[in-house]
Amino acid sequence: MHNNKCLKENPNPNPNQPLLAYHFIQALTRINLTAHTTTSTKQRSHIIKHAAYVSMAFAAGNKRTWTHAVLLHNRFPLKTRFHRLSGSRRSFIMSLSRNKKTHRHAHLLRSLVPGGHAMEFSSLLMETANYIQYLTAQVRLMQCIVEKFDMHV
Amino acid sequence: MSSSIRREVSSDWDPLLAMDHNMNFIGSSGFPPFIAGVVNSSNDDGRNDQVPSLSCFGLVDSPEFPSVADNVKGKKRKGFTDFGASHSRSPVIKTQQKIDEKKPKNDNADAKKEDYIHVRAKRGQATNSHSLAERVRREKISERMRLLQDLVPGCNKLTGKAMMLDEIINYVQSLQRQVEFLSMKLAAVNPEVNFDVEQILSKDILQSQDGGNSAALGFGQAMTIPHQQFHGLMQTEMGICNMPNSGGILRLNNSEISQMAQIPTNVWDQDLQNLVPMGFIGNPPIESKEMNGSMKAEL
Repeated sequence: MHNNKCLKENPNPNPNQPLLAYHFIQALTRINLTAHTTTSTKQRSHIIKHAAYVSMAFAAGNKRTWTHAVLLHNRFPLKTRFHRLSGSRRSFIMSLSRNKKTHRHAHLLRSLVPGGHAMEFSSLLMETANYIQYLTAQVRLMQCIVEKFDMHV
Repeated sequence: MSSSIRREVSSDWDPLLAMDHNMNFIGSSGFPPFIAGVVNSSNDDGRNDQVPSLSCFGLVDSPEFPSVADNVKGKKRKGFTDFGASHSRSPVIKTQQKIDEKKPKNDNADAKKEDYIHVRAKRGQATNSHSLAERVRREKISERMRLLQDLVPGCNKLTGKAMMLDEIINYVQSLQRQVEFLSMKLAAVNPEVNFDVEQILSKDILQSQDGGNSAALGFGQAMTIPHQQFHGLMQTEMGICNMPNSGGILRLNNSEISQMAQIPTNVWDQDLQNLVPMGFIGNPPIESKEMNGSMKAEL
């Protein structure tokens, strides 16, 4: 994979759809089993959304910064990778972005992509590409499931 | 790719050989003065971008013309990985004609070991080490923007970093909003529909294994679904979804599913304990090796 930059191909493989489906459906079933009717719809939707992101990160594998950020954020809320860095390191990374005169686009993108604050701009773009791939796959999967439920009902 | 590089390089060097008498040797190692080296570390998983390290040797006492005579003679150029973009834009012929321009040559033992990306200074451009590195970085960024352009629909017409970034940000935001909306829909749908469908799906996935893993998962093992029904359900599920590689997916065979199922699913216990506030998950959280990997990577 480290040769891909030279080859100028898309280094991102297509997301593994069955794996996504497997993890997400498993999460959904667990949620159904455990979270009973006492939870409101809003709570459930929040839980399901969280499960969607976690299953997406899980299916994407360990090699991505955003998956680490999502999974860590899941375990320790509000402690993103950036926040877990020590103060001097954090300021160093911030200064890197500041020195290159980052525009608001970069800042926006960093806030959108999980774990985006701890990366330089070019790797941020890579992560965004991968993230977009998995997001589209996940959206498609969820649409299928919703459709299926509509059919049965 | 390497063959094209060799062609360019070999055509490049002929005029330089002619002016052999003009060249002096730079030090004993023969390192040319201008190499912008970006260390292409093999463990670059996109997490830490490569820190451009500039190896400029002997700038103070370097003569005007780098010595290439030594490097020309039959040395292997394995380490010469080039940035394709820089070559495609400025054909080598241009740099050929500019005889008095300094061209970074990089044929030394270190290049083979360390896998540098070497950049050629083009005609009429500054050969300052910093600007070379800047150019490398800019080209990397534009290359990745082109990748992103293919991913985001409707980005083909837009040119310019600002507009494309706008579009990309909008797209990511809309995708995230879609996820939220769909999860709301799922949450609304779930309590009404009986859970059989989902349970069937999940148990079908578990069913494909030998049964060893399924016991560890702590699901109610009462339902056993026959194999054919499982195949049918999975196929309809995948068929509806219209997956991009639908041709291969529609016929999920046992091997694929058993591969999937063998992924340690005990990890979900720990994750879902955060998600679901109730402690109904009975399995003791077992640290799978995947989670260990992700945790260690943070250190």
